[in-house]
Amino acid sequence: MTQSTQYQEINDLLSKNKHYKEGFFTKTLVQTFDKGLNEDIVRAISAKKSEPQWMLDFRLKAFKHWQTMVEPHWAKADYTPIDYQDYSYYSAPECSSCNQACDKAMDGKDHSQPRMDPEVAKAFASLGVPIDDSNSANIAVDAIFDSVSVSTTKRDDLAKLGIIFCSFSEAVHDYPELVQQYIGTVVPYHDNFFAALNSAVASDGTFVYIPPGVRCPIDLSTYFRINEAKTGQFERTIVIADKGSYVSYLEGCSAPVRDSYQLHAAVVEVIVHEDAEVKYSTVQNWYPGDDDCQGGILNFVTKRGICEGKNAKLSWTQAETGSAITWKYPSCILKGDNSIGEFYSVALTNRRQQADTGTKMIHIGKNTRSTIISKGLSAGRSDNTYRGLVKILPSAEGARNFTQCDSMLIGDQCGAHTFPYIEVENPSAQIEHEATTSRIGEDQLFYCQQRGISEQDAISMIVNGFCKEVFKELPLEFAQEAEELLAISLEGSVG
Amino acid sequence: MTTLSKPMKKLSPVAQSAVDFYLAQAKALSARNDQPELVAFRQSVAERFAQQAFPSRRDEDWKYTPITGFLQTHYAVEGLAKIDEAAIKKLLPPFDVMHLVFIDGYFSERYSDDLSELPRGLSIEPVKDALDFSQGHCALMTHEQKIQDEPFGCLNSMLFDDGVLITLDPHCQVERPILCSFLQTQDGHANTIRNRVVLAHGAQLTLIQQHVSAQPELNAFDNVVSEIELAEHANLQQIVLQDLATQGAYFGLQMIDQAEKSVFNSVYVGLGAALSRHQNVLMMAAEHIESNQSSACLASGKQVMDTRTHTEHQAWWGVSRQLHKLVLDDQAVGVFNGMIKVHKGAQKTDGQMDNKNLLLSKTAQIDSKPQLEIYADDVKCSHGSASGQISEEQIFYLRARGINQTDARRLVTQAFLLEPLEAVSSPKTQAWLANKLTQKLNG
Repeated sequence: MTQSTQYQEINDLLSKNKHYKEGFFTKTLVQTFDKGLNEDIVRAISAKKSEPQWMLDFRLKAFKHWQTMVEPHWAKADYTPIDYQDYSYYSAPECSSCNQACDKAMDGKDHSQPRMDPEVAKAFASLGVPIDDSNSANIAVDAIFDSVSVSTTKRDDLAKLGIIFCSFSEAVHDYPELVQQYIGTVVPYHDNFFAALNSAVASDGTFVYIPPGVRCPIDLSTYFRINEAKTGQFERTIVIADKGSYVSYLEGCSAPVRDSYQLHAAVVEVIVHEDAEVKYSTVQNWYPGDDDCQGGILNFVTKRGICEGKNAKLSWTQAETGSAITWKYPSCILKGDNSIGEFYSVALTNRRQQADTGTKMIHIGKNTRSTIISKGLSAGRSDNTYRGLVKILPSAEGARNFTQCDSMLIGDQCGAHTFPYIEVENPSAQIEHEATTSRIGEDQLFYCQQRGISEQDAISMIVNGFCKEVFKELPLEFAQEAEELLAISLEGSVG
Repeated sequence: MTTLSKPMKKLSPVAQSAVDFYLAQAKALSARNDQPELVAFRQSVAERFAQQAFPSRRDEDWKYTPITGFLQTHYAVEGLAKIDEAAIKKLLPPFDVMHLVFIDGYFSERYSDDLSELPRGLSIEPVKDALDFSQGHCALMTHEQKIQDEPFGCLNSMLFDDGVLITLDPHCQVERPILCSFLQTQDGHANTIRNRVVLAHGAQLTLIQQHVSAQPELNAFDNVVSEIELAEHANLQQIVLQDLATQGAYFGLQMIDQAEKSVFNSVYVGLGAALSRHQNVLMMAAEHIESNQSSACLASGKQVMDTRTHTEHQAWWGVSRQLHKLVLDDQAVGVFNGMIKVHKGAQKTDGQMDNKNLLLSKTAQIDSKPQLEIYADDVKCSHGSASGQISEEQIFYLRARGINQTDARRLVTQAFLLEPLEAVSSPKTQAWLANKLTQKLNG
């Protein structure tokens, strides 16, 4: 039996089934800037958000630096260089009632929810995102629609605990000292090409501050929605966990079906102080594009956290199923002694998707520990790459790292790659790295089918088993969502 | 191995002066040999070298391998060998070999075994004699483009003047190992060597290459490129021992092509040189190929040791094994870079790559990059990398049995370091290599 016929059935199924249920498009009045990027646009974005001078200065500095940089192409992904002038850098739904852009910054301290465009509300409702304060969900949500945050729920309840949970634009106005203190400390504006771009044209994002000793009782969450065609979304998220605090933060995203590439370049900065813990989970489900991944999202994300104090803990969990191209390396700088960094990832690619994702663990403090579990699944004609760095500096006495990268290949047209970088400068460090490659064996499928389990169910069982170590790290609802997503994205791709 | 469109490099003054120096050396070399084809060939390589120049730490493949120290010494191609009979005697291992001696990069008929009475089917020829373009010198250069893609390969193409050409006829099985000793006798000399080993159908050979310095304080530069071709069912056992003085530099690049059911087994032992880099580029282009690439390196002082392999599985049923061990003391830097690439359709591939590193001092450093690139689904591929120090438990176990701290550490280190030598089939050769390693460990 040749390899190509082996997957025939499954590929047939797959081609029939390509629903991306989040692919609808919301028709609403929007205010969108003209395409193009120049200093005036940067100033206009800042003016639109009536930002203080220091924020504008930060943007301009970043923009000037960005102009001197070249687009990086070292990742294992093929794409034509992006025309940055062909995107619009600001788009916001307008309130039909007041004919004013729903820029909450303009509402100043008005904590009552600004009137939201019913169409936008409908969009979030059909995505299943609770943006209404009256809901009983045990979760607080910041909903971001194109370039602005349209709603932030449960903020009053949280404020009683001293927790700040608001959109980034609001934080710039309401908590300028905090923002100024932390912005660019983990990801400086000159860090890389996309971080510089983001710093210049940052649209909106979420700002979270957990005061000392507070354990955030509910999950905080942000939902990103790109709606307009040919716009870029550049959110900037800052999460700060002060001494001894704890927060679990979730992130979800989607975009409508389009026929041209859309750009998403986010920056996330996480600061974890002494004895604090942050759990950061992402389910990334951007539109992957059509069969050839035309029109999918180009996802270039810089996520980095620093364990500033002793015994701090930062845990990244991600389920990556969408995007035409993923370029994402959530990293941990383990500066405080005994701090812990974790990275759990499931990346699934299908059709012609290309994912180059992984992590960086920089060990600086004594007895710092890190764990990396990465599961890559590739199907169709996709490429799935793990790229990770583990660096032990001379000061990191007794550091410990364990890395496990497992790849599963589904079909003989896809690729799975592992590019780990290990740099050890301290002999007391113990570093282990292992990687394996496997596939869904015919024998495994046969075994299941023989016991009356359908092929689809068997595949889904095997895949879920493969990813279990990562899914168990996700908060409950998210784990379920991720499992379902995996099932949908894989539907029909396996044999 | 591909790098995307590189912007024009800005060279540091040190690198620029080194480039200019080696270009002048190539001219000097051409002046000595007036064969027009050869002069033209050198000229074309020189043009490429002038453009490509030396890599910097910005180049991905050279990120961890600093060559600035190397660039500061200019190694000349001219010079007079200082031969010492005793040094030649010391080269011989305690077992029977066919000995070929190369002094400062040139074949020495006087010190080598007689080439006129070779076993049937075996032919050995110095490259200098084979370097006749009018007689189809092209035969030497199946990989020329790929060799020149590598910065030191390009330098080699520009400066090589001698080396060895070994050919085995079909089914020729040579019992006695061939030992090629590359001896450095001059300070500041560049020894550029180009070898080619061709094994025809079913041929078998054990080839030992050693790089040695005549005096312990010598600072010379060995730059070797070897092309190895194994036809169907051929079997090559190769050992490369790099035991140069600790000041010099060693660059070894091997391009290996394997045909169906052939076996390639290569062990590299790295001991000397301030900067060394040994690189295998292995193409497993047909079915049922077996390969083993192992290395044992022991670095101390400020030595930089770089071992890298690039293995491509291109057809069904390939088996590749790798075990690379580095022991690093003092301020030594170890670099390992391995890549297993499984092409589309290379099903049933079984590839394994292991890299283990032992750090003996607080200031030693290891950079490891074990990579997998896989485009076929029915394969068994894995890689592992582990780095750490000597386990206290093991020391305790030995000390509890009355072995003192120093001996216990040495025992554990030795056991760790000698494992890759298990791939050497002949016990005598294995013992000889083990002896070299332990000598350095105890010295």
